[in-house]
Amino acid sequence: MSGKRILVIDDDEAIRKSFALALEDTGYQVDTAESGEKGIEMERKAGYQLIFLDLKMPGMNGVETLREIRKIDEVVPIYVITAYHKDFFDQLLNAAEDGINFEVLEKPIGGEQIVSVAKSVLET
Amino acid sequence: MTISRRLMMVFLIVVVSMVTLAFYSVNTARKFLLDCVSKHSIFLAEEMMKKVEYSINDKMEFLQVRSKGYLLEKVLAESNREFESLDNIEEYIAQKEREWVSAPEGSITPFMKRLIDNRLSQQLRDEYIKFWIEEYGRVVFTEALVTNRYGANVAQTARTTDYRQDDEQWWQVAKRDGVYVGGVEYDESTGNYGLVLAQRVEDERHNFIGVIKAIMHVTGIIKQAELAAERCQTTEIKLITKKGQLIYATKSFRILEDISGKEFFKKIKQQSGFFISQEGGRERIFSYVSSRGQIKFRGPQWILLVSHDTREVFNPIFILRSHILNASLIIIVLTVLVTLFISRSITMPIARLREGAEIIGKGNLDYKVGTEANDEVGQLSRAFDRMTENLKKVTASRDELNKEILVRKQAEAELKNTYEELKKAHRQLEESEAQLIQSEKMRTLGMVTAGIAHELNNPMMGMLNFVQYCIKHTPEDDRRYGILKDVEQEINRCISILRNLLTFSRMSREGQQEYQKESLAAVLERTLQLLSFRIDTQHITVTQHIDEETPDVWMKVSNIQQVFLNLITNALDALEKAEKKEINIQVRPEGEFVRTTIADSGCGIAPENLKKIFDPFFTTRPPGQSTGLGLSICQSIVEEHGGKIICESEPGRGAKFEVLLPIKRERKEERYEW
Repeated sequence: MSGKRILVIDDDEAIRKSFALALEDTGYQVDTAESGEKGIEMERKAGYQLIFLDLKMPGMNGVETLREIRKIDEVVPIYVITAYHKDFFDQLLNAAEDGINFEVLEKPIGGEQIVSVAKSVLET
Repeated sequence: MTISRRLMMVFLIVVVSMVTLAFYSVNTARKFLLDCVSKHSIFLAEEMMKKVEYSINDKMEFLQVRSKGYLLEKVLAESNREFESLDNIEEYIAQKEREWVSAPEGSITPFMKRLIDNRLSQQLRDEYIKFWIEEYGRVVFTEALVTNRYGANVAQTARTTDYRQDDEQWWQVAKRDGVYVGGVEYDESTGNYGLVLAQRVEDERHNFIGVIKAIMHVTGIIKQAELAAERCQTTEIKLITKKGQLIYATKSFRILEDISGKEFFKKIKQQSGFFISQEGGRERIFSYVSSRGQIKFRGPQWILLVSHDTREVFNPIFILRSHILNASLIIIVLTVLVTLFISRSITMPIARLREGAEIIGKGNLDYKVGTEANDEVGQLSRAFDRMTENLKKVTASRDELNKEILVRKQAEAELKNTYEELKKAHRQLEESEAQLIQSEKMRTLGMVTAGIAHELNNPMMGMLNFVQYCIKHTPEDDRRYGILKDVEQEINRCISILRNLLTFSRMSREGQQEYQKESLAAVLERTLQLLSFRIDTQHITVTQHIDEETPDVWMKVSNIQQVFLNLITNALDALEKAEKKEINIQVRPEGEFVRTTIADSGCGIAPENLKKIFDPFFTTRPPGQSTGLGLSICQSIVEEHGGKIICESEPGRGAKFEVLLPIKRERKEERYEW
């Protein structure tokens, strides 16, 4: 169980904290990054088994961050979490067409869903 | 009736009247002529009768004068004295009578001879017979006789049948009255018929001394009178006694013939008169007069008849009548011819006029009747031509007017069309404007909503997770656990509201769902399954009529399902307090669309709300129970599909929502660009 690490990249602290709290008792290590740049840096340094990525962020947005992370790690499951991805829809489509893998999760996500997603990814 | 017939009738009536008048005149003339002739004949008869009577009277006076003669008185006085001296006068007379009658006929006894040849007899012959013949050349008396006061012959011009005369009527009447004018008798001695006249003879002291008898020659008297009268060719004169014995006739006749049985005799009734009667197969006019007698004697009691053949009398009338008849025929024929000529001269121009009227009536206004005649018809024809001329002008201007009216009408129609189009365009413009405003409103609203929703999303997610964390770390028996659960529930409600808001605002740009062909019946079935718990607990009857021909429709299945879910949920809400709890669902193809109707038997929608139900945030439910976005979202989804959603409702009669979806997918420009 231990040793599995999850990275949450979101500019909103409430979201970061939500993930952290929801996954607290799971035994997974949850790291958070408040920007895309930081998230990339952290992925590059440590490498994670699961990444939750917000789309709308100041600085690098989610899609740009996604592309960058995929350059570092092609296989790590990345769940794009958003309430609203129209602005990034075309970019996401382009990314998908470019062969970049990702999943989409719709905000708001409750604790149980977070845990079930994490477990489904990390325990199989 | 044609004019010629009328003319003919008028002329014929006039002619027939004239002819009738002519014949009436002829008849009247005939009557007058008859009257005139008859009266003339009566006059003639009267004149003749007078002459006869005068002649008899004259002879009677002659007899009277002669009764005073000296010789006569002397002879009679002697005879009377001689008889008075006799012992038995009666015996003597009877004796002499027997001898007289017994003497053979034609023989003259000496006693007779003494009576015929004595002086008085000589005088009688001279005065009564010879005198008239010598003086007037005709026989007036045929016989004369004188008796004494006892009736015995004293002197006589010829032998008589008897000796004694006192038994004779004439003798007795003459003795008594002084004068006797008798009937017509046959005089044996002369072989003639004669009229017996008798006169009492008296002496100076007026004592009766004897009687003179003379027989007048009747025919002679009448012929005398007849000669003086004017006569026609067929005039006949008859003299008859009142008993009907013929005394005289101008034609050959038998004296004393009884004609009382003849027709004309029976018609004699008065003193004088006239009549028309048949005699010998001929019609004759009879005029008659009876003798009136003279003062001195009773008259002969005769009737004088003058008759004429009507054919002779009325001959002028007959001729006139035949002339009138011929003239009438000629006049009638002439009238007919003249009428025909006149009527032709009238009707021919009229016929031409009529022909002209018919030609003009058919539209040929160039036709001219044209006439030189100066009569009324000619004037009419010219007036007609003038009228045609005017009509032509009027017609021309009328045609122009009609043309102009037509042009104006067309222009008016075009104007009206243009106006209608303009109105339509204006309406469309207004609609577009309204739509534009609506879409602008929606766009703005969508943007605001999206912004708010997005901004709230993260805090909501935070709150949800925080509270869930707290719940996880709070014992269930802790009082705070329940409160935290309530918080979680409230947060979830908020999240639900946010989801709806986001769905509404980003409907068209959610790329996660693709169009696919799906059966509406299947979508409806799934929706009803989702709501089956509510339907059952609310005891609602759901009826479905799905046309078998309904094709599958291109749609975003979950969106359409959301539409149905919304509509049916609304229906269920409306039926919560309704008595009749029914939902009727119909699906049927309609051209290039499929119409889905969802009707409920609920409370319905107030008319003032009907227009607003599709507006975002419009709701009639209490705050907190509805976002007021349900029908807005439905409309957005249906319009995104290129369809249409319509609502019909009356309060108390339920609401009916109709969703029209195109069968084929329409590449529709996305309406909401955010």
